[in-house]
Amino acid sequence: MKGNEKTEVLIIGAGASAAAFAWKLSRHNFKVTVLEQGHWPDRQKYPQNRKDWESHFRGSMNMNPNVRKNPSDYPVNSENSDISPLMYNAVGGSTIVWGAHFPRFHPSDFEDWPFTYEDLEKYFDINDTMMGVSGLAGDPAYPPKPQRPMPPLPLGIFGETLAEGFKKLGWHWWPVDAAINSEPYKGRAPCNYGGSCVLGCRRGARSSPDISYWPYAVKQRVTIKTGCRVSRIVTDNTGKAAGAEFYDEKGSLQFIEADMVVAAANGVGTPRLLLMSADGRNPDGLANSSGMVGRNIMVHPAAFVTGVFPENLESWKGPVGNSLYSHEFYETDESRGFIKGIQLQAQRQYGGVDTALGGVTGVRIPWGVHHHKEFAARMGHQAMMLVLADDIPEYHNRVILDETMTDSSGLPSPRILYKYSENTEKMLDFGVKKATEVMKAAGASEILANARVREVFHLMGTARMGTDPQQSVVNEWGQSHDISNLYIIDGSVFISGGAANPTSTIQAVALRMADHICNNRKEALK
Amino acid sequence: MNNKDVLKQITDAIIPEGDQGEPPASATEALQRVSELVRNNRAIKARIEALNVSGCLPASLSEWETEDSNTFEILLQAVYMGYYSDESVIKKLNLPGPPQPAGHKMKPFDMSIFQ
Repeated sequence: MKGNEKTEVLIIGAGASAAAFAWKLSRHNFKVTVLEQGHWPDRQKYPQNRKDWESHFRGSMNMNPNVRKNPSDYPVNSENSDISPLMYNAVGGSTIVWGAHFPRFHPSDFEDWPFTYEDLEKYFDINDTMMGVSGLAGDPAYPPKPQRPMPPLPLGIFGETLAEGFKKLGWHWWPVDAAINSEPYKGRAPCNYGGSCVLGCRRGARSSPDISYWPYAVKQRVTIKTGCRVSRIVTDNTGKAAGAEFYDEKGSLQFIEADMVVAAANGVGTPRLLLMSADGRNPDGLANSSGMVGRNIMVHPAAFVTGVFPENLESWKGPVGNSLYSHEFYETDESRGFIKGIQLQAQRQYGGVDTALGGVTGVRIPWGVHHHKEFAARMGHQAMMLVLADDIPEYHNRVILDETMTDSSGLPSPRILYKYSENTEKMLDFGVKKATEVMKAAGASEILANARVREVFHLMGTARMGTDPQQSVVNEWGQSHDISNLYIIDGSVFISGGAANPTSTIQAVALRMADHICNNRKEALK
Repeated sequence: MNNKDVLKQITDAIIPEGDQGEPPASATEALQRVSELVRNNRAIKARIEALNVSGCLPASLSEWETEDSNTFEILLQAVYMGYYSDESVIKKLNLPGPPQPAGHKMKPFDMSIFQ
């Protein structure tokens, strides 16, 4: 199949991993083309200056594609699943609606990986500089990190109150690493603590690849084609990847040839694409001789605990997910009755609408004669603790193609088959208990909880890396065991999920893979 | 009683006038939101038409909430979103309004927290 266009490296998806990968390759003069079904975000359209700004959490900026239903989204069938995945389709991917909490995985998370935390360290550091990270070096939960590119974000009354709770209990806590500017950085404004980061950042203070990596990559002559939805990766008669077929912005089917094809469509989108690309030679989908494509999906099972405090914490001030966190219970302690661990991450609240509707715990202010009294007791007086649990990869948790549901191009939707393990249930219950303890120690007079959050971010594990082609999809460089010029560079390749938000680690892994390709150019493009 | 009066009664039963001077929902954008909702959502319209507004309205609304929580939640969202987006409510309750462009003031991170 011949296309109208030819490129050396074709990347499918323009999210966090693709941005880091493309930036690195383009520095070494690879000809890189990116196909993205979404578009460049327009920061001036983010709604935080509108009086109905909070309505957009439930509309066009909702994190759930099934709720948002933007033209560039594809619906996900998560019926009969314990979770419903959150994601966003645009240049920048799901980071367009993220909180920008930027921890790294721990060294212990790499136990079964083909490389170590130490192997990734220099890529973590490069990535921190590119994304722009505020934080404080010296966190005892990690090996030493260099001074963070910017000083830590303020804690405010909210964060200082919670810190006192952790101190009373003698538990680990630390100001977060946040991909948010605490001071002017690389031409981007500092945060002014508006707090609604997940609606997109009008100021550009909260980093996302559309304003951090991609502008540099584009200057280095990377081509990003937006509104282009890939229907399948095409193989040639030798079995190698030849390029991709895609619907362009006008809905016309096109083909682009490439020497190397790179999937970076997230832990749900990438297996969907590989499964949609089944052909005569690969009847179960591309890169799937192991049968592992789509299997072992990991997320971050989550719970929220809200403490209601007698004093006003001004908890609407400051970046919503970025004040402090605790890794006190991150590592395995089998005496707790489960393996792996949890992260506790303090979360602020939004405005009056969110408070009245119950926010993340969903316990809304009652209507009727007691409404005003209850509202006054909670607005600004709430502090939330997000419990993120380390998910164990399980063979039966998987992404498949739905038999009936499709996107607007008629392409099959992904269907999620996922059940919490007993280990996860125990971890979440433990996390709720510990978050409750810290809230009480900090002075909360009332506790509200959502012990099982159905809508979850952080999609990982569905095209796992490894050395055994029968048990994994790609090698440590993201190269498919089956198809030598097909690479996967996003969170799909993860072998474990950690309890820390994964974007920092996803990008560091992508940079390491890109570095390898740059150092082995001839071999990679052969 | 005309339709507007019925909607006023309903919104005020959900958020009544407060004893600290908080406006009733019918004096805010909540009323407009609910009017739009009734125009565009047949299920809500039917529910409202079936309400006994001349009797004990809070009891009728509670009955609706128990019988059909999904549609009641839609009504409640419209009232709450309209009410807490209204400038008069934001001013009266000293709530954070749209967070941009002004943002909020915060003191820088203080290392003394570790002491």
